[in-house]
Amino acid sequence: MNERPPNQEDDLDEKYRRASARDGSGPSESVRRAVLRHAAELAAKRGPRELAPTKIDFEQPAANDARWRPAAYGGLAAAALVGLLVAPHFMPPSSRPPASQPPSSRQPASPPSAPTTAPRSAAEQAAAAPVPESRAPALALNPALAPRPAPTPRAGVPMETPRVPSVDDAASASNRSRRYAPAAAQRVPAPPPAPGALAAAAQAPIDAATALRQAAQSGDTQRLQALLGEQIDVNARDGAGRTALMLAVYRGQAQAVDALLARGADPNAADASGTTPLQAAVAGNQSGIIAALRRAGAR
Amino acid sequence: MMSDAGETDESLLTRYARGEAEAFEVLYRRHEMRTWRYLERNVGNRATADELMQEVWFAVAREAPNYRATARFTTWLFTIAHNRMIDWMRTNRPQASLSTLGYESGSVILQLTANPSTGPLAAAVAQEESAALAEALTRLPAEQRDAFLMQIEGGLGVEEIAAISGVSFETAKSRLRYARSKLREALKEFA
Repeated sequence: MNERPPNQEDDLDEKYRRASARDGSGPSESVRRAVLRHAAELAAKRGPRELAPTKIDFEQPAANDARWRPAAYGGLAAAALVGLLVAPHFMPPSSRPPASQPPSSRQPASPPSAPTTAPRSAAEQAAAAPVPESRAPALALNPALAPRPAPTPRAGVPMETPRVPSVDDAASASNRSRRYAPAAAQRVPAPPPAPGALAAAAQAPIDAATALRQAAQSGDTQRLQALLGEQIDVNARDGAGRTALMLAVYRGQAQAVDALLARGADPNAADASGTTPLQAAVAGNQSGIIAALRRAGAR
Repeated sequence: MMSDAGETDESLLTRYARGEAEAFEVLYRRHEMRTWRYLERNVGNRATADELMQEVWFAVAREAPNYRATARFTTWLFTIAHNRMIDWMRTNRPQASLSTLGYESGSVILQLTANPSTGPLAAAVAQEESAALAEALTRLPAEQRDAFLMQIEGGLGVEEIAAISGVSFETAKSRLRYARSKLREALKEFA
Protein backbone atom coordinates (compact mmCIF):
# COMPACT_ATOMS: atom_id res chain seq x y z
CA MET A 1 0.00 0.00 0.00
CA ASN A 2 2.31 2.68 1.23
CA GLU A 3 5.27 1.30 -0.56
CA ARG A 4 8.34 3.34 0.04
CA PRO A 5 10.17 4.45 -3.04
CA PRO A 6 13.59 3.18 -3.92
CA ASN A 7 16.65 4.69 -2.33
CA GLN A 8 14.80 5.11 0.91
CA GLU A 9 17.76 3.80 2.84
CA ASP A 10 19.76 6.98 2.27
CA ASP A 11 19.76 9.88 4.69
CA LEU A 12 17.96 12.29 2.42
CA ASP A 13 15.01 12.49 4.76
CA GLU A 14 17.27 13.27 7.66
CA LYS A 15 19.08 15.99 5.74
CA TYR A 16 15.80 17.50 4.67
CA ARG A 17 14.46 17.54 8.20
CA ARG A 18 17.68 18.97 9.52
CA ALA A 19 17.43 21.78 7.04
CA SER A 20 13.79 22.33 7.88
CA ALA A 21 14.57 22.43 11.58
CA ARG A 22 17.02 25.25 10.90
CA ASP A 23 14.33 26.98 8.92
CA GLY A 24 12.67 29.55 11.09
CA SER A 25 9.96 30.41 8.62
CA GLY A 26 6.32 29.50 8.89
CA PRO A 27 2.87 30.89 8.35
CA SER A 28 2.25 34.39 9.54
CA GLU A 29 0.56 34.96 12.85
CA SER A 30 -2.39 36.57 11.10
CA VAL A 31 -3.05 33.34 9.20
CA ARG A 32 -2.93 31.34 12.39
CA ARG A 33 -5.35 33.70 14.12
CA ALA A 34 -7.72 33.75 11.15
CA VAL A 35 -7.80 29.96 10.88
CA LEU A 36 -8.39 29.39 14.58
CA ARG A 37 -11.01 32.12 14.77
CA HIS A 38 -12.86 30.73 11.78
CA ALA A 39 -12.75 27.23 13.22
CA ALA A 40 -14.05 28.45 16.56
CA GLU A 41 -16.90 30.30 14.86
CA LEU A 42 -17.90 27.21 12.93
CA ALA A 43 -17.74 25.11 16.08
CA ALA A 44 -19.94 27.62 17.88
CA LYS A 45 -22.44 27.53 15.04
CA ARG A 46 -22.56 23.77 15.05
CA GLY A 47 -22.77 23.55 18.82
CA PRO A 48 -22.16 20.44 20.80
CA ARG A 49 -23.55 17.41 19.02
CA GLU A 50 -23.73 15.38 22.20
CA LEU A 51 -25.70 16.80 25.05
CA ALA A 52 -23.84 17.33 28.26
CA PRO A 53 -25.22 15.56 31.32
CA THR A 54 -28.23 17.52 32.49
CA LYS A 55 -28.38 18.75 36.03
CA ILE A 56 -31.92 18.65 37.30
CA ASP A 57 -32.99 21.12 39.92
CA PHE A 58 -35.91 19.45 41.59
CA GLU A 59 -36.80 22.51 43.57
CA GLN A 60 -37.32 24.65 40.53
CA PRO A 61 -40.89 24.51 39.13
CA ALA A 62 -41.18 22.76 35.80
CA ALA A 63 -41.25 24.99 32.79
CA ASN A 64 -44.61 23.58 31.77
CA ASP A 65 -46.02 23.54 35.28
CA ALA A 66 -48.81 25.98 34.48
CA ARG A 67 -49.89 24.16 31.36
CA TRP A 68 -49.85 20.50 32.19
CA ARG A 69 -53.39 20.33 33.59
CA PRO A 70 -55.16 21.79 30.55
CA ALA A 71 -52.98 19.69 28.29
CA ALA A 72 -53.72 16.50 30.22
CA TYR A 73 -57.47 17.12 30.44
CA GLY A 74 -57.64 18.15 26.83
CA GLY A 75 -55.86 14.97 25.84
CA LEU A 76 -58.26 12.84 27.84
CA ALA A 77 -61.25 14.59 26.35
CA ALA A 78 -59.95 14.10 22.85
CA ALA A 79 -59.31 10.41 23.50
CA ALA A 80 -62.84 9.98 24.84
CA LEU A 81 -64.34 11.70 21.82
CA VAL A 82 -62.38 9.51 19.47
CA GLY A 83 -63.51 6.46 21.39
CA LEU A 84 -67.15 7.46 21.08
CA LEU A 85 -66.81 7.97 17.37
CA VAL A 86 -64.90 4.79 16.68
CA ALA A 87 -66.53 2.30 19.03
CA PRO A 88 -69.82 1.87 17.10
CA HIS A 89 -67.90 0.72 14.10
CA PHE A 90 -66.59 -2.25 16.03
CA MET A 91 -70.03 -3.33 17.25
CA PRO A 92 -71.82 -6.02 15.22
CA PRO A 93 -75.07 -4.88 13.72
CA SER A 94 -78.02 -5.70 15.97
CA SER A 95 -80.50 -6.63 13.28
CA ARG A 96 -81.25 -6.30 9.64
CA PRO A 97 -82.78 -3.08 8.54
CA PRO A 98 -86.55 -3.19 8.28
CA ALA A 99 -87.93 -4.44 5.02
CA SER A 100 -89.98 -1.33 4.58
CA GLN A 101 -86.86 0.80 4.42
CA PRO A 102 -86.58 2.43 1.01
CA PRO A 103 -84.05 0.77 -1.23
CA SER A 104 -82.25 4.02 -1.75
CA SER A 105 -80.95 3.88 1.81
CA ARG A 106 -79.71 0.33 1.55
CA GLN A 107 -76.88 -1.39 -0.13
CA PRO A 108 -76.63 -1.32 -3.91
CA ALA A 109 -79.67 -3.02 -5.25
CA SER A 110 -78.24 -5.09 -8.07
CA PRO A 111 -77.01 -8.48 -6.90
CA PRO A 112 -74.26 -10.16 -8.84
CA SER A 113 -76.72 -12.77 -9.99
CA ALA A 114 -78.96 -10.22 -11.65
CA PRO A 115 -76.83 -7.98 -13.78
CA THR A 116 -78.55 -5.10 -15.44
CA THR A 117 -78.07 -4.18 -19.01
CA ALA A 118 -77.62 -0.50 -18.25
CA PRO A 119 -74.07 0.79 -18.51
CA ARG A 120 -72.38 0.85 -15.16
CA SER A 121 -69.89 3.24 -13.81
CA ALA A 122 -66.44 2.15 -12.75
CA ALA A 123 -67.41 2.58 -9.14
CA GLU A 124 -70.43 0.47 -9.64
CA GLN A 125 -68.38 -2.20 -11.28
CA ALA A 126 -65.97 -2.07 -8.43
CA ALA A 127 -68.76 -2.41 -5.90
CA ALA A 128 -70.30 -5.29 -7.78
CA ALA A 129 -67.07 -7.05 -8.54
CA PRO A 130 -66.87 -10.68 -7.49
CA VAL A 131 -65.74 -11.02 -3.94
CA PRO A 132 -62.46 -12.85 -3.54
CA GLU A 133 -62.89 -16.31 -2.23
CA SER A 134 -60.92 -15.59 0.83
CA ARG A 135 -63.30 -12.85 1.76
CA ALA A 136 -66.43 -14.65 0.77
CA PRO A 137 -66.95 -16.57 4.02
CA ALA A 138 -66.79 -13.42 6.04
CA LEU A 139 -69.35 -11.77 3.86
CA ALA A 140 -71.58 -14.80 3.91
CA LEU A 141 -71.52 -14.91 7.69
CA ASN A 142 -72.44 -11.28 7.91
CA PRO A 143 -76.05 -10.79 6.94
CA ALA A 144 -75.63 -7.10 6.63
CA LEU A 145 -73.13 -7.58 3.84
CA ALA A 146 -74.65 -10.58 2.15
CA PRO A 147 -76.03 -9.97 -1.32
CA ARG A 148 -79.68 -9.23 -1.19
CA PRO A 149 -82.25 -10.16 -3.75
CA ALA A 150 -83.56 -7.36 -5.81
CA PRO A 151 -86.69 -5.85 -4.33
CA THR A 152 -89.85 -6.86 -6.09
CA PRO A 153 -92.16 -4.10 -7.16
CA ARG A 154 -95.35 -3.95 -5.20
CA ALA A 155 -98.63 -3.19 -6.73
CA GLY A 156 -99.43 0.49 -6.69
CA VAL A 157 -96.02 1.46 -5.41
CA PRO A 158 -93.70 2.91 -8.04
CA MET A 159 -90.31 1.28 -8.09
CA GLU A 160 -87.59 3.73 -7.18
CA THR A 161 -84.69 3.95 -9.48
CA PRO A 162 -81.77 2.23 -7.81
CA ARG A 163 -79.16 4.64 -6.68
CA VAL A 164 -75.92 4.40 -8.52
CA PRO A 165 -73.29 3.43 -6.00
CA SER A 166 -70.55 5.93 -5.60
CA VAL A 167 -66.88 5.44 -5.00
CA ASP A 168 -67.55 6.11 -1.35
CA ASP A 169 -69.95 3.25 -1.27
CA ALA A 170 -67.39 0.89 -2.68
CA ALA A 171 -64.77 2.05 -0.24
CA SER A 172 -67.20 1.89 2.61
CA ALA A 173 -68.22 -1.63 1.76
CA SER A 174 -64.63 -2.65 1.55
CA ASN A 175 -63.90 -1.06 4.91
CA ARG A 176 -66.85 -2.72 6.50
CA SER A 177 -65.82 -6.11 5.25
CA ARG A 178 -62.44 -5.62 6.86
CA ARG A 179 -63.92 -4.39 10.12
CA TYR A 180 -66.37 -7.21 10.52
CA ALA A 181 -64.05 -9.99 9.52
CA PRO A 182 -60.60 -9.19 10.83
CA ALA A 183 -59.60 -12.83 10.96
CA ALA A 184 -60.57 -13.35 7.39
CA ALA A 185 -58.77 -10.19 6.40
CA GLN A 186 -55.61 -11.55 7.91
CA ARG A 187 -55.90 -14.61 5.73
CA VAL A 188 -56.08 -12.48 2.65
CA PRO A 189 -52.72 -12.63 0.96
CA ALA A 190 -50.90 -9.36 0.81
CA PRO A 191 -51.22 -7.51 -2.47
CA PRO A 192 -48.38 -8.26 -4.82
CA PRO A 193 -45.50 -5.79 -4.63
CA ALA A 194 -45.48 -2.98 -7.11
CA PRO A 195 -43.52 -3.89 -10.19
CA GLY A 196 -39.94 -2.79 -9.88
CA ALA A 197 -37.94 -1.79 -6.85
CA LEU A 198 -37.97 1.80 -7.99
CA ALA A 199 -41.71 1.96 -7.57
CA ALA A 200 -41.32 0.51 -4.11
CA ALA A 201 -38.68 3.06 -3.31
CA ALA A 202 -40.92 5.80 -4.62
CA GLN A 203 -43.60 4.76 -2.19
CA ALA A 204 -41.14 4.89 0.69
CA PRO A 205 -40.46 8.12 2.55
CA ILE A 206 -37.07 8.44 0.83
CA ASP A 207 -36.46 9.03 -2.84
CA ALA A 208 -34.87 6.53 -5.18
CA ALA A 209 -31.47 8.24 -5.22
CA THR A 210 -31.31 8.21 -1.44
CA ALA A 211 -32.36 4.57 -1.42
CA LEU A 212 -29.56 3.83 -3.86
CA ARG A 213 -26.98 5.55 -1.68
CA GLN A 214 -28.25 3.75 1.40
CA ALA A 215 -28.09 0.40 -0.35
CA ALA A 216 -24.57 1.15 -1.56
CA GLN A 217 -23.45 2.27 1.85
CA SER A 218 -24.87 -0.74 3.63
CA GLY A 219 -23.69 -3.18 0.99
CA ASP A 220 -27.22 -4.39 0.30
CA THR A 221 -26.34 -5.64 -3.16
CA GLN A 222 -29.72 -7.25 -3.76
CA ARG A 223 -31.53 -3.99 -3.26
CA LEU A 224 -28.80 -2.15 -5.08
CA GLN A 225 -29.15 -4.36 -8.14
CA ALA A 226 -32.90 -3.92 -8.08
CA LEU A 227 -32.54 -0.14 -7.94
CA LEU A 228 -29.90 -0.13 -10.64
CA GLY A 229 -32.28 -2.01 -12.87
CA GLU A 230 -34.49 1.04 -13.00
CA GLN A 231 -34.09 4.40 -14.59
CA ILE A 232 -32.07 6.12 -11.93
CA ASP A 233 -29.26 8.64 -11.78
CA VAL A 234 -26.45 6.47 -10.52
CA ASN A 235 -24.31 9.57 -9.87
CA ALA A 236 -26.86 11.44 -7.76
CA ARG A 237 -25.18 13.15 -4.81
CA ASP A 238 -26.10 13.77 -1.22
CA GLY A 239 -25.69 17.03 0.66
CA ALA A 240 -21.94 16.50 0.95
CA GLY A 241 -21.58 15.84 -2.75
CA ARG A 242 -21.05 12.11 -2.27
CA THR A 243 -22.31 9.65 -4.84
CA ALA A 244 -23.45 6.13 -4.09
CA LEU A 245 -20.07 4.95 -5.33
CA MET A 246 -18.23 7.21 -2.92
CA LEU A 247 -20.31 6.00 0.01
CA ALA A 248 -19.71 2.40 -0.96
CA VAL A 249 -15.98 3.12 -1.11
CA TYR A 250 -16.01 4.80 2.28
CA ARG A 251 -17.67 1.74 3.80
CA GLY A 252 -15.48 -0.71 1.94
CA GLN A 253 -18.43 -2.32 0.16
CA ALA A 254 -16.50 -3.95 -2.67
CA GLN A 255 -19.48 -5.72 -4.23
CA ALA A 256 -21.50 -2.55 -4.24
CA VAL A 257 -18.59 -0.73 -5.85
CA ASP A 258 -18.41 -3.36 -8.59
CA ALA A 259 -22.14 -3.17 -9.19
CA LEU A 260 -22.13 0.61 -9.39
CA LEU A 261 -19.12 0.72 -11.71
CA ALA A 262 -20.72 -1.89 -13.95
CA ARG A 263 -23.77 0.34 -14.13
CA GLY A 264 -21.64 3.29 -15.26
CA ALA A 265 -21.03 5.14 -12.02
CA ASP A 266 -18.45 7.90 -12.49
CA PRO A 267 -15.23 6.63 -10.85
CA ASN A 268 -13.86 10.17 -10.66
CA ALA A 269 -16.84 11.93 -9.10
CA ALA A 270 -15.30 13.86 -6.23
CA ASP A 271 -17.26 14.96 -3.20
CA ALA A 272 -17.65 18.50 -1.95
CA SER A 273 -14.19 18.46 -0.38
CA GLY A 274 -12.58 17.40 -3.65
CA THR A 275 -11.90 13.85 -2.53
CA THR A 276 -12.24 11.29 -5.29
CA PRO A 277 -13.35 7.68 -4.79
CA LEU A 278 -9.81 6.53 -5.51
CA GLN A 279 -8.36 8.83 -2.89
CA ALA A 280 -10.91 7.59 -0.38
CA ALA A 281 -10.13 3.99 -1.24
CA VAL A 282 -6.42 4.59 -0.88
CA ALA A 283 -6.88 6.33 2.42
CA GLY A 284 -9.03 3.48 3.62
CA ASN A 285 -6.51 0.89 2.44
CA GLN A 286 -9.12 -0.85 0.27
CA SER A 287 -6.86 -2.67 -2.16
CA GLY A 288 -9.65 -4.55 -3.96
CA ILE A 289 -11.65 -1.41 -4.44
CA ILE A 290 -8.58 0.49 -5.61
CA ALA A 291 -8.03 -2.10 -8.31
CA ALA A 292 -11.68 -1.98 -9.36
CA LEU A 293 -11.64 1.80 -9.53
CA ARG A 294 -8.45 1.84 -11.56
CA ARG A 295 -9.90 -0.68 -14.01
CA ALA A 296 -12.85 1.64 -14.39
CA GLY A 297 -10.57 4.55 -15.23
CA ALA A 298 -10.27 6.23 -11.86
CA ARG A 299 -7.51 8.75 -11.60
CA MET B 1 -0.74 9.79 14.05
CA MET B 2 -0.68 10.05 17.79
CA SER B 3 -0.24 13.23 19.71
CA ASP B 4 1.76 13.72 22.85
CA ALA B 5 -1.50 13.22 24.66
CA GLY B 6 -2.11 10.02 22.70
CA GLU B 7 -5.07 11.29 20.76
CA THR B 8 -5.16 10.58 17.06
CA ASP B 9 -5.70 13.18 14.38
CA GLU B 10 -8.88 11.43 13.40
CA SER B 11 -10.23 11.58 16.92
CA LEU B 12 -9.39 15.26 17.20
CA LEU B 13 -11.16 16.05 13.97
CA THR B 14 -14.18 14.06 15.04
CA ARG B 15 -14.29 15.95 18.32
CA TYR B 16 -14.04 19.21 16.46
CA ALA B 17 -16.88 18.20 14.17
CA ARG B 18 -18.95 17.73 17.30
CA GLY B 19 -18.28 21.32 18.27
CA GLU B 20 -15.09 21.21 20.33
CA ALA B 21 -12.99 24.07 19.01
CA GLU B 22 -10.04 23.17 21.23
CA ALA B 23 -9.56 19.92 19.35
CA PHE B 24 -9.11 21.84 16.13
CA GLU B 25 -6.42 24.01 17.62
CA VAL B 26 -4.44 20.95 18.71
CA LEU B 27 -4.82 19.50 15.24
CA TYR B 28 -3.84 22.74 13.53
CA ARG B 29 -0.71 23.25 15.59
CA ARG B 30 0.31 19.65 15.02
CA HIS B 31 0.19 20.00 11.23
CA GLU B 32 0.75 23.70 10.78
CA MET B 33 4.39 23.63 9.76
CA ARG B 34 4.24 20.62 7.48
CA THR B 35 1.24 22.04 5.64
CA TRP B 36 2.85 25.39 5.25
CA ARG B 37 6.18 23.98 4.11
CA TYR B 38 4.42 21.79 1.57
CA LEU B 39 2.61 24.80 0.14
CA GLU B 40 5.46 27.24 0.35
CA ARG B 41 8.03 24.95 -1.23
CA ASN B 42 5.64 24.13 -4.02
CA VAL B 43 4.56 27.66 -4.91
CA GLY B 44 7.82 29.31 -3.89
CA ASN B 45 6.16 32.34 -2.38
CA ARG B 46 5.45 33.00 1.28
CA ALA B 47 2.51 35.33 0.76
CA THR B 48 0.86 32.84 -1.56
CA ALA B 49 1.62 30.05 0.85
CA ASP B 50 -0.10 32.03 3.61
CA GLU B 51 -3.11 32.59 1.40
CA LEU B 52 -3.36 28.93 0.47
CA MET B 53 -2.69 27.85 4.03
CA GLN B 54 -5.69 29.81 5.20
CA GLU B 55 -7.90 28.39 2.48
CA VAL B 56 -6.81 24.83 3.17
CA TRP B 57 -7.50 25.02 6.88
CA PHE B 58 -10.76 26.87 6.35
CA ALA B 59 -11.76 23.91 4.19
CA VAL B 60 -10.68 21.47 6.87
CA ALA B 61 -12.85 23.29 9.41
CA ARG B 62 -15.77 23.51 7.02
CA GLU B 63 -15.65 19.92 5.85
CA ALA B 64 -14.89 18.35 9.23
CA PRO B 65 -18.44 17.03 9.67
CA ASN B 66 -18.14 15.22 6.34
CA TYR B 67 -14.85 13.57 7.22
CA ARG B 68 -15.03 9.82 7.64
CA ALA B 69 -12.50 8.15 9.86
CA THR B 70 -11.86 5.50 7.22
CA ALA B 71 -9.49 8.00 5.64
CA ARG B 72 -6.25 8.96 7.31
CA PHE B 73 -6.37 12.59 8.31
CA THR B 74 -3.01 13.43 6.76
CA THR B 75 -4.13 11.95 3.45
CA TRP B 76 -7.28 14.00 3.59
CA LEU B 77 -5.38 17.15 4.59
CA PHE B 78 -2.81 16.82 1.83
CA THR B 79 -5.51 16.02 -0.69
CA ILE B 80 -7.12 19.33 0.12
CA ALA B 81 -3.76 21.13 0.11
CA HIS B 82 -2.72 19.58 -3.19
CA ASN B 83 -6.02 20.37 -4.88
CA ARG B 84 -5.96 23.94 -3.65
CA MET B 85 -2.36 24.40 -4.75
CA ILE B 86 -3.10 23.05 -8.23
CA ASP B 87 -6.16 25.28 -8.51
CA TRP B 88 -4.07 28.27 -7.61
CA MET B 89 -1.40 27.38 -10.17
CA ARG B 90 -3.94 26.94 -12.91
CA THR B 91 -5.62 30.21 -12.08
CA ASN B 92 -2.61 32.37 -11.49
CA ARG B 93 -0.01 30.90 -13.76
CA PRO B 94 -1.90 29.46 -16.66
CA GLN B 95 0.91 30.19 -19.04
CA ALA B 96 3.41 28.17 -17.08
CA SER B 97 3.49 24.42 -16.97
CA LEU B 98 3.92 22.86 -13.59
CA SER B 99 7.41 21.87 -14.55
CA THR B 100 8.55 25.42 -15.19
CA LEU B 101 7.32 26.97 -12.00
CA GLY B 102 10.15 28.44 -10.03
CA TYR B 103 10.69 29.87 -6.62
CA GLU B 104 11.00 33.41 -5.46
CA SER B 105 14.58 34.44 -5.83
CA GLY B 106 16.45 32.83 -3.01
CA SER B 107 13.48 32.62 -0.69
CA VAL B 108 13.79 28.97 0.12
CA ILE B 109 17.52 29.17 0.34
CA LEU B 110 17.26 31.99 2.83
CA GLN B 111 14.68 30.13 4.84
CA LEU B 112 16.57 26.89 4.90
CA THR B 113 19.83 28.49 5.90
CA ALA B 114 18.52 30.68 8.67
CA ASN B 115 19.20 30.19 12.36
CA PRO B 116 22.47 28.33 12.47
CA SER B 117 22.76 27.08 16.01
CA THR B 118 26.26 25.75 16.10
CA GLY B 119 29.76 27.12 15.65
CA PRO B 120 30.92 29.15 12.67
CA LEU B 121 32.29 26.20 10.69
CA ALA B 122 29.37 23.90 11.36
CA ALA B 123 27.00 26.73 10.64
CA ALA B 124 28.69 27.39 7.35
CA VAL B 125 28.46 23.73 6.38
CA ALA B 126 24.84 23.58 7.44
CA GLN B 127 24.09 26.65 5.39
CA GLU B 128 25.76 25.12 2.38
CA GLU B 129 23.84 21.90 2.79
CA SER B 130 20.57 23.72 3.23
CA ALA B 131 21.28 25.92 0.26
CA ALA B 132 22.14 22.92 -1.86
CA LEU B 133 18.94 21.17 -0.85
CA ALA B 134 16.85 24.26 -1.50
CA GLU B 135 18.42 24.79 -4.87
CA ALA B 136 17.90 21.16 -5.79
CA LEU B 137 14.28 21.44 -4.76
CA THR B 138 13.91 24.50 -6.96
CA ARG B 139 15.33 22.68 -9.94
CA LEU B 140 13.04 19.72 -9.60
CA PRO B 141 10.12 19.51 -12.01
CA ALA B 142 6.99 20.62 -10.15
CA GLU B 143 5.39 17.17 -10.29
CA GLN B 144 8.46 15.53 -8.77
CA ARG B 145 8.78 18.25 -6.15
CA ASP B 146 5.12 17.89 -5.25
CA ALA B 147 5.45 14.12 -4.91
CA PHE B 148 8.55 14.43 -2.77
CA LEU B 149 7.00 17.05 -0.51
CA MET B 150 3.87 14.98 -0.06
CA GLN B 151 6.05 12.11 1.01
CA ILE B 152 8.41 14.01 3.26
CA GLU B 153 5.95 16.46 4.80
CA GLY B 154 2.77 14.43 4.70
CA GLY B 155 4.29 11.04 5.33
CA LEU B 156 2.28 9.69 2.43
CA GLY B 157 3.04 6.49 0.56
CA VAL B 158 3.30 5.97 -3.17
CA GLU B 159 -0.27 4.78 -3.52
CA GLU B 160 -1.61 7.79 -1.67
CA ILE B 161 0.54 10.18 -3.69
CA ALA B 162 -0.65 8.55 -6.90
CA ALA B 163 -4.26 8.88 -5.89
CA ILE B 164 -3.92 12.51 -4.80
CA SER B 165 -2.00 13.44 -7.94
CA GLY B 166 -4.35 11.56 -10.21
CA VAL B 167 -1.62 9.44 -11.76
CA SER B 168 -0.83 5.77 -11.82
CA PHE B 169 1.11 4.04 -9.11
CA GLU B 170 4.07 3.59 -11.43
CA THR B 171 4.11 7.23 -12.42
CA ALA B 172 4.08 8.36 -8.82
CA LYS B 173 6.79 5.88 -7.96
CA SER B 174 8.87 7.13 -10.86
CA ARG B 175 8.45 10.75 -9.83
CA LEU B 176 9.58 9.96 -6.33
CA ARG B 177 12.53 7.96 -7.56
CA TYR B 178 13.73 10.77 -9.80
CA ALA B 179 13.14 13.42 -7.17
CA ARG B 180 15.01 11.56 -4.50
CA SER B 181 17.82 10.68 -6.86
CA LYS B 182 18.36 14.30 -7.86
CA LEU B 183 18.19 15.55 -4.31
CA ARG B 184 20.58 12.86 -3.14
CA GLU B 185 22.97 13.75 -5.92
CA ALA B 186 22.83 17.41 -4.92
CA LEU B 187 23.65 16.57 -1.32
CA LYS B 188 26.16 13.79 -1.80
CA GLU B 189 29.07 15.89 -0.63
CA PHE B 190 27.41 16.52 2.71
CA ALA B 191 27.62 13.91 5.41
